[in-house]
Amino acid sequence: MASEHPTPAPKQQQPVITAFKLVIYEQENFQGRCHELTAACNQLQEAGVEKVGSILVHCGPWVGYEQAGCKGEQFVFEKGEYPRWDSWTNSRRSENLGSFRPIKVDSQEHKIVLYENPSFAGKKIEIIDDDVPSFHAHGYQEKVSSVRVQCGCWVGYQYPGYRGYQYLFEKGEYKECSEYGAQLPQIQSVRRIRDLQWHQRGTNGLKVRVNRVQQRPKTGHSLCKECFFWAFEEEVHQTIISARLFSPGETVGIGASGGKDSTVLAHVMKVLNERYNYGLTLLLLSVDEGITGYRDDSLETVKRNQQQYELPLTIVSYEELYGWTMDAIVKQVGLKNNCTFCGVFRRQALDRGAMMLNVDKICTGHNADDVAETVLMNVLRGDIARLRRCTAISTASEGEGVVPRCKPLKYAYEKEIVLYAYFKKLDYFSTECVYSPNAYRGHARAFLKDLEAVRPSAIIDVIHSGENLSVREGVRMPVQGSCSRCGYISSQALCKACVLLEGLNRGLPRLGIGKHHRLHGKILAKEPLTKEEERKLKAVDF
Amino acid sequence: MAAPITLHLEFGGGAELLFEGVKDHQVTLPSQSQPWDMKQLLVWIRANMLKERPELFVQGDTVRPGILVLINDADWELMGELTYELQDRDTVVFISTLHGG
Repeated sequence: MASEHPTPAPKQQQPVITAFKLVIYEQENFQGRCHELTAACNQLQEAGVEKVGSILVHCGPWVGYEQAGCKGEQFVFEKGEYPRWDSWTNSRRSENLGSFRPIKVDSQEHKIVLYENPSFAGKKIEIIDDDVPSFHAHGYQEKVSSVRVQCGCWVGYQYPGYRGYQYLFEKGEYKECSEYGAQLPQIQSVRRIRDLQWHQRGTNGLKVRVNRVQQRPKTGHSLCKECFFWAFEEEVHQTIISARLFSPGETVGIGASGGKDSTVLAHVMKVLNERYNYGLTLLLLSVDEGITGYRDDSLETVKRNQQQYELPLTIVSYEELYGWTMDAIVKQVGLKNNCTFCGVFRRQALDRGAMMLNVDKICTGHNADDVAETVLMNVLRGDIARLRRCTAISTASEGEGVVPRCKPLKYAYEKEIVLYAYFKKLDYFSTECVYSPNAYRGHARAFLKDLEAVRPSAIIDVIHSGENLSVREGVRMPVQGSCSRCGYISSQALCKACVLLEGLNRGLPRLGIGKHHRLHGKILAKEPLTKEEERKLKAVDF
Repeated sequence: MAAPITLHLEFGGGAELLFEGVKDHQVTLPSQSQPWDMKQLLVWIRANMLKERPELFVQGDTVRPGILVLINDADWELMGELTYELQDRDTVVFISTLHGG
């Protein structure tokens, strides 16, 4: 039964001093049936809650558990709004919530001691009335096996910057990590739970992360930046580990354009490869599209990166692969659709470069904003096949001639990438491509930035939507084959690059724009086109 | 009367292209009856510094979405954004995130 005020919780709890109140909505964004809790609830399901879509905490704090009976992963809820599951967890492991209980904050003072070994032994870190976003910055390592809370309530996090699994610490003693609900004795940041503290909206932007750090002026900026770097790198590491992007011994080509994303990617990959012994051989791979005033300058940046990061660099050019530079292509096709040529050629050029170098995988600097833009573009174009695969973090080997690709920065916000590059003083190139102002992507990008200004989680939300779309059975999908001219993967008789190239060479640039599959047979047989067909495919000037 | 204040302004990530490609600027805001805040600074930049296409930098009374603002190296969202009251010798950084890579 849908009701306004079902209060299903057992009432045998101690008398509640503060009027705890939490409202569960079954849908995201505070929609759907709602259920109000004013005391602990051991079994949400028995209380009639079918699912938890969003949560509003009127008076807290509360702790939610993944399973019934206060078991499983823990999530701390302070006063505020939680419109979606990933606003209360960033471990992203589980969206389940099975039980809830209020947290009694008994003291305005806070004191906690964390110990390296079980039974309060080994190295320790003592914290009094303070939040610590990174133990690392305090010279303490991440191992925490036992904990003693002398006063106040605390929440410990698996990773720096208040990220990863959360562990609630109330007054008392925790002799080993299983007593605080952890499988691994790993905690890298801890903060106080303060009664009635307003929980800021949008917990997954940098805003909150920096905010908490910035409240510690006595430690100055070095800690702030240090923590941010550490948190950013750890997050990429988590993405790499949880999606099993690489295996030891592999050679990985980093697609390097000299821009912020690939520069940050190259830097972080090098740092993580060393920090966590991935055992990878890294190298830089760049494509020279032949764009005067843009790529020639950015390649200079890549050449400097090569020296700064001590990674070998290989450059493949459109001119040597296709016989055409982008400058020459734009001269023929104009400023409309030129990005199509560039995109198709670049993808293939990277693969060809990768094969020349014998790499096992290519990683690219696509960030969360890029992925979200692509989702929007594919929706707007009705491109179901691409929509379905564009959120994938890696492509499986698609057959001969195609090297698997992955996006380690898939969940990194562009904003954080820019900040990382800025604070690390990374050398990157930031001029807009001289030929791109008319690209369709620009509109999707501007739209997404407007959305982000209203609601910072919009970017992750769009990715989330993309990841969860499923295509109805029976929808015809293109079948992947290979190009009968060059052997590259293609769902048509000729791959897009060969068709575009054929168009350029015959002076019919529109051949590869839009759908002209019917003509592939003629092209392969080297038959001439009719006058009517040629007329349609000539460059159109406006 | 608030005394004139000197600020260090920095433009990066492509935003400098709107300021003749110059990244670092030392500016002095004249004395006025009210203390200077970020909102007034944006108006002043638009009137005194922007060389071309102002809509690529300011929209309405704030910066264009996608431009990051740091006040003394902290995200301006933490400092009150437009209402932040500028102090003498503050450093304000504008970084565009919109340029491709």
